[in-house]
Amino acid sequence: MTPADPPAFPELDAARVDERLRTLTEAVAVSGDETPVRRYVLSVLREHGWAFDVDTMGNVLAHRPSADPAGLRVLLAAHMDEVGLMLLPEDDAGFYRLRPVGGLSPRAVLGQAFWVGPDRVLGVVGLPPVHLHQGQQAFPDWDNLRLDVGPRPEGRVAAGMRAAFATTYRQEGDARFGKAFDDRAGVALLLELLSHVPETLDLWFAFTVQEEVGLRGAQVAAYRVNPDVAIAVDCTPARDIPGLRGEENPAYNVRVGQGPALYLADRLTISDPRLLRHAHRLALQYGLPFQFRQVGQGATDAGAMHVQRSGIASLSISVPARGIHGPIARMSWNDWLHTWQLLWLLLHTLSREVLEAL
Amino acid sequence: MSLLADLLALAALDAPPGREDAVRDAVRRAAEAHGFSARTDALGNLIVGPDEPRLAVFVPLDEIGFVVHAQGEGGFWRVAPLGPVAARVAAYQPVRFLDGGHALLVPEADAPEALRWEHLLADATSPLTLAAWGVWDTAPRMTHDGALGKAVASRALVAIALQLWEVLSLPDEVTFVFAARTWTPGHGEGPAAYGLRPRQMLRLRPAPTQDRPPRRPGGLTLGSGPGLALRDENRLADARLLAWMEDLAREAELPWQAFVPTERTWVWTSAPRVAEGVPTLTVVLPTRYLTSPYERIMTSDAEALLAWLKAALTAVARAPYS
Repeated sequence: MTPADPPAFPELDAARVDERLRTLTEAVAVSGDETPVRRYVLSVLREHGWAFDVDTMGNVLAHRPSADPAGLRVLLAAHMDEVGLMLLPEDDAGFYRLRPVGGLSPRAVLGQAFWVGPDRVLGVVGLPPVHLHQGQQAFPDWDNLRLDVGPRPEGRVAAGMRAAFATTYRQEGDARFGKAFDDRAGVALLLELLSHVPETLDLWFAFTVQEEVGLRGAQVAAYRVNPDVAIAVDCTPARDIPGLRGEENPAYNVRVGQGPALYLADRLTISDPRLLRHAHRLALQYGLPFQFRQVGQGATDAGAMHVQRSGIASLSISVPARGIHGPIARMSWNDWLHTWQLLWLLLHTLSREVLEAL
Repeated sequence: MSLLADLLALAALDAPPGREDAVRDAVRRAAEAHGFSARTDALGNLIVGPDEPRLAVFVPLDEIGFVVHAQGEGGFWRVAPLGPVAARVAAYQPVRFLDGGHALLVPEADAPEALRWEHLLADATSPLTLAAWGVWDTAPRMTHDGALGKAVASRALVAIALQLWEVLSLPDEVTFVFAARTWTPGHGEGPAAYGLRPRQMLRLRPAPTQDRPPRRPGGLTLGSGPGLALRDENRLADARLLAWMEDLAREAELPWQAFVPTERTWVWTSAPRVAEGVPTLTVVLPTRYLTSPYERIMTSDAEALLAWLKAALTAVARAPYS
């Protein structure tokens, strides 16, 4: 297929997007306590004049009704939460026991600094020097790890609080480094679409909670909105490091720099064939880079959304990033931008005709 | 057509999860030929019959599938399974794709003994297409006592439903749901049940026998009649439906066997938990080598299941949740 003339994509202010990504990724919003990100999202929604509601679980549901009463109802979802730690009762002078929230390995937290709670109090999971390691487990389990916050004023740190990696956002050319791109990259994509949506769709944006602990927010959000189409906008781990001998790495999932990842299927969902075909054709037609994400493990909010009520046609589109669910990840600016452009194309071409013929 | 002829014709069609069009269209045509209206929901379930029926009969539309997700080095491709198939079962087996391509699944040259899917390559006879959906490339065939081939168990259940339409006019209070994506998580049964709100449901599923030596007690046996799942992986069968089906089998002098599924039996469903809950019983067709390219079923089991369901539909007014 010959690429069509590229459409006139709206210009995005890269500096504004970077500032947005900085604000979003440096917030502490571990599953179950997404308040800092929710506050930011609400402020941007107010700025753009969108109607919104916060449901019982904490999902932000933003709505822009269609000018056409018969307009297709479309839900885009990006999750606000991130993986992190929950503090258990203090056992000695500022040492807190830990439990992971979401998919987090004890290996990933060793020797790392954390921000605790809304005040972002600094703590560290200390690592003894290597010459003192003898006889110790190479990778301690959670019971043997402590977060050291030091003596702190009463109330600033307490059991039950969440902690997230203390990682600042950085940019180097095309590369973007930071924590929680999963899924603040998706949240930023939705926020940047707010002022670029067509009037033909009955459009809902869900900024969901508790994705990392079982897609819980998306489940109730999709039930409430009951859309014709749901699209999960997420960030997927790129396992694209070459093999040790330079051979092909067959376990790669997606590759950084190869464009947005379209999901064929994952652990919980088979993408709707009509939506997948439509997105695939758009990417080919407009010469947008894209890749198919390897089928297998992992899941997005689509896993919960597509089985709500009598079923919802669903698709997942992700920005690839290396090192997610860890202290620092790397994402490509161009991947993020091409994901935004693909979503923009989808929103401007979705219609009931796309959903015909199943 | 006979049950066996129907099932062989249906098993020759390809319906990987999410791409069940061929079988769905065949069933829709059969429904329309009987004067029944059929509708398709958002996930691809085909529904034949009224909403809020007294009884819903769920039948799987799909079969084990594959999808091409990457081009590997040296002209080989990477595929992933859609459904529960071990890599060791797939090695050296042929696969065909809905767009016409064919490939042989082969292990990498230095693949370990404990094969995983990431060690398998698709050696294609012609260039494949990314995102192409495929199925086992084995022709279904008749045996002296049944059928052998890909998807024969699931298609036998579809054929049984079509046979029921031949011999019974569809009762007003029964709806058939030909469910999509049943071999993958997030399958179509739950949303279909949510939309239908049946008072009770019978799920027809193939289930693996455990009758290869060494035999273990408690498993299904080929040729001993259809089975009733006493529970699935996470909930008990509905006791009143179980008793009803037992009574029907006794009255009709039909063979049947009870069994307790394991996590490798793949009969799980979310359907009983939708809305206010749906009383559910899973009725299974014993199948050897389930999900492999060569499933084996026996005609006598399928015919007993047909007779049992005929008795149930005839007596639907006596179904426990009325």
